Amino acid sequence: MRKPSESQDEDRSLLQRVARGDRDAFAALYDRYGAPTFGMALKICNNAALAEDVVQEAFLSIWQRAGRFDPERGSVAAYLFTAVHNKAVDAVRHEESLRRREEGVADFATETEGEEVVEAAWLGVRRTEVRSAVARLSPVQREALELAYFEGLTYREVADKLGIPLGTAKTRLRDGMIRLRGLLLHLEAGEL
Amino acid sequence: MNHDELRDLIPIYALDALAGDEGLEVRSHLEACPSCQLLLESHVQAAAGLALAASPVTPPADLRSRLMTAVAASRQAPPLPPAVPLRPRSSVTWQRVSALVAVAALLAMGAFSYRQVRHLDEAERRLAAQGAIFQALANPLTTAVPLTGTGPGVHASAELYVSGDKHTAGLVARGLSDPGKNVYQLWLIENNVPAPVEAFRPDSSGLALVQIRTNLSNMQGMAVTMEARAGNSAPQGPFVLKS
Repeated sequence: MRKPSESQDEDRSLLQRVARGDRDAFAALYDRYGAPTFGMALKICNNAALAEDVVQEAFLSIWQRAGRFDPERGSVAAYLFTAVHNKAVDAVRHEESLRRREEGVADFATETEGEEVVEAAWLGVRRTEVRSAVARLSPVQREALELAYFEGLTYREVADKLGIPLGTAKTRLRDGMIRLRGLLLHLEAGEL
Repeated sequence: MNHDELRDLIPIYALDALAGDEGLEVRSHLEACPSCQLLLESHVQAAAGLALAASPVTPPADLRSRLMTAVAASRQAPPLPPAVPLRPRSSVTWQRVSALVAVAALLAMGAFSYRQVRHLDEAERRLAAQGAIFQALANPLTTAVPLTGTGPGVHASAELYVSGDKHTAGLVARGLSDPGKNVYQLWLIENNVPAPVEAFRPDSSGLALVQIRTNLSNMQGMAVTMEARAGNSAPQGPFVLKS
């Protein structure tokens, strides 16, 4: 069982400083999470310019709302990923965005450069664990979660895309999430 | 929808995969139902984990500068009360001198194993250091990498001294607490992956000297965690020190 990481304490400390208007702390938080959140946004948006807009808007809102973050309700990492994910999903659901994403994705290297090395390595370990957990979902659960999370589809759109009844799509998503949560429990709540 | 029906939708809500009236109804219910709020938080954590399934991609450099420009022009919501102040740092000069003495001792005793070094008393260490410290100080190729204490090691600090050929190094850590049944584990970061180097325990004064005999040419960083046992192939415990 992994204890809550001290890296989280640092994240919280950084976010507390951000809430007091500390731009250096904000830059440090961005340097730490810029690459993983941009990678996620790029996967969702499938368009580099759109992903940049998403990350910029999400981090700007984090700057503006840092004082409202409640550390009792989860990790800073989950807060950041959720903020960027929400913006990305909003973006791809927007009609104009749907047109832009057809333009395709730029050929970005998948190597990280700006992340702090130690943080990148630790996130790499987490990434391996998450991928292992995702691989243990049933294929239909995994497919449904991928469509919802990385393509920003609602469960109704998942049902349409897969040609399955609405109830089946809901069941796959719900059961997939419950299973994933169980598989990630060893990381403990807020351990991302 | 009744409570159980709404509760069933929470994992899907956490994925942001509800739309229209269903999403609004769940949101409204959450405002009045603490148990469903807790359930949502656990699913939000799991959903955020999915983000790590995507490969990280370094964003363009100008995104950072645009973001910082936007931040400079943006107002913030009122902050929470001030956090606990950061610990005061010791004198850098003292740290540097102390570290050089310690690493010189370490280098001077290169033929000794770490266990043997641990059991040398303070006087022997100082004697050994006297001869070697000038050599270490005089060698311009020796580089020092500072490690900062955090978590259980918040009062600790360390330097990693790397030889010019990058095949030998010494870690000097001070201010480490007794780990009890746990051990401290040193990790070498290469290719963005932490690899175990050596598990160690400090002496009664909180000092630890760890010799490293491995190729550090591709080293990206070093970190120390506290682990429940030696021999973990991947870090599981909290950070204590990191570069």
